[in-house]
Amino acid sequence: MTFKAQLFAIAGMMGLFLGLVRGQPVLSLLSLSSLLWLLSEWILFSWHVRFQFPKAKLHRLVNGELDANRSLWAERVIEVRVQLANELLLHGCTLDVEDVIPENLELIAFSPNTPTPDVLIGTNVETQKSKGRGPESSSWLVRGVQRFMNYRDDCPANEVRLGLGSQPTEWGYTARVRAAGNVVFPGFRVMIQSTHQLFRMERFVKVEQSFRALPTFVDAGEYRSLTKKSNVIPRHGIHRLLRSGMGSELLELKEYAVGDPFKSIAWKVSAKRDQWMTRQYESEVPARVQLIVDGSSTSRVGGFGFRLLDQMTFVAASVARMATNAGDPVGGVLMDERGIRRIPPMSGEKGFQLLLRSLGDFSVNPCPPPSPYQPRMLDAAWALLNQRYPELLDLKVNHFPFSIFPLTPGARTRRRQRFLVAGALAEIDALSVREHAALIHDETAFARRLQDLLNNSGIPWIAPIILLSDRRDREPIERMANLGKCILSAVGHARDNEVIVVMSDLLNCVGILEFVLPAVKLAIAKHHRVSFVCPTSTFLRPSRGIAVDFSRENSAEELLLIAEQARLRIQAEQLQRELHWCGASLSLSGEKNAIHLIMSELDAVKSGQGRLQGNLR
Amino acid sequence: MSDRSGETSRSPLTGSLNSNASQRRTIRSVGAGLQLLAIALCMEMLLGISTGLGLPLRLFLLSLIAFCIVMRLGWLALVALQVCLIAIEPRQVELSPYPVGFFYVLVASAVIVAAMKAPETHRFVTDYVVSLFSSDAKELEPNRKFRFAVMRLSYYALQLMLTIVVAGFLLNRLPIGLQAESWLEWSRQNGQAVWPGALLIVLLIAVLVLVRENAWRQILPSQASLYLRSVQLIANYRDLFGFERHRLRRLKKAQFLGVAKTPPPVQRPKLRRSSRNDDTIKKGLK
Repeated sequence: MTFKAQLFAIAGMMGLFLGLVRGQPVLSLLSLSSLLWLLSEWILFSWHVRFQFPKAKLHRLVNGELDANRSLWAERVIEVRVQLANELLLHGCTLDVEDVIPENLELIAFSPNTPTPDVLIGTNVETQKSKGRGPESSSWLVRGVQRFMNYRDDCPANEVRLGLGSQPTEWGYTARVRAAGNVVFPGFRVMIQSTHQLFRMERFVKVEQSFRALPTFVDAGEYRSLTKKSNVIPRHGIHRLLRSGMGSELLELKEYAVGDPFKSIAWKVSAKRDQWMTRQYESEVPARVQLIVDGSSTSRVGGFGFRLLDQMTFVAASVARMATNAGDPVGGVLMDERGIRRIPPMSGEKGFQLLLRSLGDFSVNPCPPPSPYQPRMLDAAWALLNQRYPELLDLKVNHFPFSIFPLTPGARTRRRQRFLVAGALAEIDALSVREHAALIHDETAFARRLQDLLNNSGIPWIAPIILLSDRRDREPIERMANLGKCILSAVGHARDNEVIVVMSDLLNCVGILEFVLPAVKLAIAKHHRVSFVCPTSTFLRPSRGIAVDFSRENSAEELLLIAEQARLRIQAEQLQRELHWCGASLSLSGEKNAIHLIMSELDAVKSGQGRLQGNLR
Repeated sequence: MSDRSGETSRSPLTGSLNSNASQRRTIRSVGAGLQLLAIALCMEMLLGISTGLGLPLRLFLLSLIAFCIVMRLGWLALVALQVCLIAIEPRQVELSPYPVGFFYVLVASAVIVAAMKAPETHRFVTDYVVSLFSSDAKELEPNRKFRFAVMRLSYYALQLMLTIVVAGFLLNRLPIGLQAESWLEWSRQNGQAVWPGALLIVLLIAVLVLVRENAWRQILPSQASLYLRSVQLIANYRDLFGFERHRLRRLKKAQFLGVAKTPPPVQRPKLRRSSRNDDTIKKGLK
């Protein structure tokens, strides 16, 4: 029963009382008939809830597939279609269906191929704006008039309203995957309400579909210089592989055979010998690449698509794609607080897919580091529970002890929310009554449960799930020590002349690089090449060109960016100095320059060139 | 602004509203005015039944009800009509409503329902009128829409009539007003309990049982579990609160004394630096 219905019932009862007391028959009749009409509406609503609502069977097709064991790609658009499989007889009630979209998806628009639903009456299927959502620019009076005049606002594309005579219908929308990881469609938030909005019931229909989101990659284009800079003789111990292949050095001339590429025909020699001759080139020695990805908690802070880890997986996937195309095997070492996972080097499409799947699984956020309780956590959990567990916040079933204190309305509301959320959490996690009581009084335990709830629901590591101050490293020494172990592990598993790519947030750890540098020196001593890719929080390279333009008025965001870039530049110079001393190369920010740097290192390994000491991109 | 029905779609080149959308908007504006006018006439007719209501009060009530319709406040419309009735209706000993009273209540109830459903009614009328004159293939189903509209209107009319008839029957049958005396006499003469008190109590209990049973059957297993859990929590809340307070105090004390276990710190390795100084490194960088 909504507040509107309660007011209606109170008005009816008061009118009936006054009518009987004062002896006014029409007033009594009007009030009593209003009450009976309300009763008939309730009976009709109950019938819908009891017999029609359970018939609603909803299915979701993602890119035309019902099967959830498929993969999606980050930063690509997917098409989602929702089908209502059963015929519902909604007479005097409407059914609002919202396909709850995970945080890793960005809603774009309606699906272009969505047919017009079977509209039997004007209000049969219509988009609607949820209460309390979206920007509310106009006053309540203007909104009321607009609603009366039916000026519809922009509405989320994943919501529809079904009314009288709704047939099995279908609607859809498009969305973009923000980042690698997983995309879990939890289900549908369904609200059935009488057309007069007197009675309402909300449920969450769980139709869970989980997809793995693979990291995106790009072809970084040509990274080699167009002019040959120097003739480099391979170092001692480096030998060319004398086998025909797709290299650049000439191996031999042979007679033309059907299928040989025309561009390899040696025209002069063919003319001299009066016979078609083709050139054969040397095979390039396959060089292995080992990608070390540091997925520590600092790299996971931020919205999906804006994490440092997303930059790393982008670079890793792009490097893997280009190396695989060149026939080079690619392996990886994935490191975070949970431990170290090694992916064996593999070449070919199968190896590339394995690496992508591993990176996708690795991008899923684990349990966040514990944070102290803050009221915004409760707000976020309240909103989430309202969306996904509305039935558990019902005051009819979620009781809590009465107390006079606190007296202020705001504090009383907070207390009520906390008790309701604690009850819902206890039910979701199947806690005992004592643990339930502990949730109410122990802020640490409550914050931990809230964090788990938000994290398991796919909320990214942003405030309030994690404090913004937690962006700084909590255990930098431990992280650097683990990174050193990873490099040693990669060196231990490496053969001759490999490229070890370390992707980690090192800018804040310049002072404690001594945990990493011995491992780097060992790798270089074993004729490997070590490249560091250090993503930046601004997604930009901290170049010297960015400065304050005093000739015009700078916005606060611009000044903040300039200040952040200046800070990063100082740290980058220190980091570069340390790595240069060891002979490792460094690229800042996860962009094409980083991919070019790694591919250049790979080419250098193949050609047996001397190391590009301290290369900076 | 995109809309699935193409209602407010704009031309991609000029940005102007499509003809269908502008036509719909025009009809909507005119229709809204006509709807308000029709309801105002109904209300004027309702208020005009009584002659004792002054013009200012009548205007105030009219504007209040128009406001209720626009803002979709059916309960406020009911209150306004009740206030009007309290002011204009003469007191009577007999509570049986006369036929004019029935008509009044029917129109008043229709106005209240219309106030609750004004946007939907308005939208339907607009869509129907537009579909009559539209050349769009999607909207060539006016007969079908009209059939559903008639069905819906018949349903609302039937529901209202039924509730008013039942209410009138109850007011006639229940021992209120003059009938109370006759029922009392009948009960005294036959040595029975005061009718229909006993029957009403039984009916009330039966209705309550039905309502509660219906409510219980509607809840989900998780809700039932939560209900039992919360009832148990409330029953033992004082004890649990005491346990928890004690545990937290002990924990705080342990943290204060430093008894809580902390992981050992990681040892820093001793790194042998190169003999080159920083100037050489800077030179190398250049």
